[in-house]
Formats: sequence, C-alpha cells, structure tokens
Amino acid sequence: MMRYEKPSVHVTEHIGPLDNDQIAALSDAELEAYLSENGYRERKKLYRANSNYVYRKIAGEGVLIPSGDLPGNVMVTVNGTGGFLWEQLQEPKTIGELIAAAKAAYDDPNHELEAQIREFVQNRVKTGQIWEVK
Amino acid sequence: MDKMMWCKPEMNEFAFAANEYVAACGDITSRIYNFICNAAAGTLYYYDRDNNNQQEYLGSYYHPCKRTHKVEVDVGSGEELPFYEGFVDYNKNERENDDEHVAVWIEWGTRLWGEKYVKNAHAMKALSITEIEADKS
Repeated sequence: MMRYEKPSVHVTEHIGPLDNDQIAALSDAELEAYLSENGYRERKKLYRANSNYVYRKIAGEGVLIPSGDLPGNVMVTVNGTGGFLWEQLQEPKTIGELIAAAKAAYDDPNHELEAQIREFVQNRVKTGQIWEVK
Repeated sequence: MDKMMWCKPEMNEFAFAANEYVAACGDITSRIYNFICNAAAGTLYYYDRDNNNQQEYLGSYYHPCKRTHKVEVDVGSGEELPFYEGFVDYNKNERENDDEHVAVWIEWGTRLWGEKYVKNAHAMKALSITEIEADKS
C-alpha cells in the first residue's frame, strides 16, 4: 500500500515556449524533457519555515527564537515583509505562491518583489531558517 | 483594502552573551539558573519543543510563588534545560496575545509505571527562556 499524504495542489508558473494545446499533445517522455528543460522542477519546489523557531512579535518587530536543538544564544530579527513571508511559510509553498501572496498584500511600484523574494528564500535556505520540503 | 508598501524582506541574526557558568578551574559539572516565579496568576500554557512547539495546557490555577528558584542543570550530560516558552492566558482566548508571554519551568515527575507527569509549573515574566540568568562562578 502507498503511504497517505495530505492532498494538495500548488500553482507554478509556466514560462516555456509551448502553449497549453501543444503541451497536452506531448508524450509523457517528451513532457518530462520539456518541463525539465524549462526549469519546472525548480519552480515546483516547496519551502516551509523551520519549525524549530518560535516566531514572536515584540514591539512591532518580529523575532525568531530558536528552540529544540538550535543554538540558544542566537536570535533572529525579522522586518515586516520578512515576517509576512515567514507566516506564509507555516505551510509549504512554492516561490510562485509566495510571490502571488505578497503581490496581493503589497504594492510593488519598483517591481522588486519577485527578485527579492527569490533571494530571501535562497539565503534563508542556506542559513537553515527555511527548509526545502522533500 | 489598501495595500502595504513592499520593502526588501530581511532577517538579521545576532548572538548574545550566553548565561554561562564558568568554572575557575576543573570540569564544569552543573549550572544554576535563577528562575523567578513572578508572572501574574492565570491559565498557563507552554510550547512543547518535542512536539513541533505545540501549545500545551498546564492548568488554570497557576499563581506566582514570587520566589527565586535555584534550578540546577547538569552540563555536558546532554540534559535539556527544563525551561519552556509559554504564556499566561489572561484574556482566556486559548492563544497567546501581547504581554502574555512567559518563560515556564516545569518540574517533571515520573510515575511508578514510567509515565512522565507535571509535578509543578512556575512562570517568569520574560520575552524568552534565554533571559533566565545563571549564576557566575
């Protein structure tokens, strides 16, 4: 028997050259090659906040307090948009979903939001505050 | 609804001086923490770090004994600190709100048949358990 897991649907961007009708006509092998070539797997990756941190708001500023096996003498301050992303990442999300949620909540006149979210997630994965979900 | 203005998301780590017990010589065997039971009375909860920081109910009759407890913890044995993040639910909505956070010291007991249970719990007004000071050598 297979192991049960929570059913979920995640939205990912499609930036390849084919339209939907052309994609639907591809064989399984062709589809896999096409998706791989166009970075589909990368965009499908799910991320979530490291649950060993307790997120608190103190005097309007977010603070991540380490718990469990994490070193106890390091704390992490989080600004407003960082806190917003952290709260979004309490459930696994793709970068595309994070961007969509941020666009719904914030004005982005300088069009920096997407690049900054990608950079934020990549950096925080390296430092262990955000996990890539297997 | 008006949208907020986007600004670059940031996280900054900072280290603070650990409340360490430093021996003048020889091996350090234990560290003594000063836990002040001073949070006002109410319904006490703690976050169970062994269970994804899930909120756990400790009791509705918590009241401060207003004493400083000397809590000795073995060092180097891998023993976990007996302190937890928690809150006193003053507004009785069963979740943490501003000004409700406390550090919680749980005195655990073990029943004859091996079951762990809470013998007593104390609460200290603190932003986190990292504020609990240890004695210096």
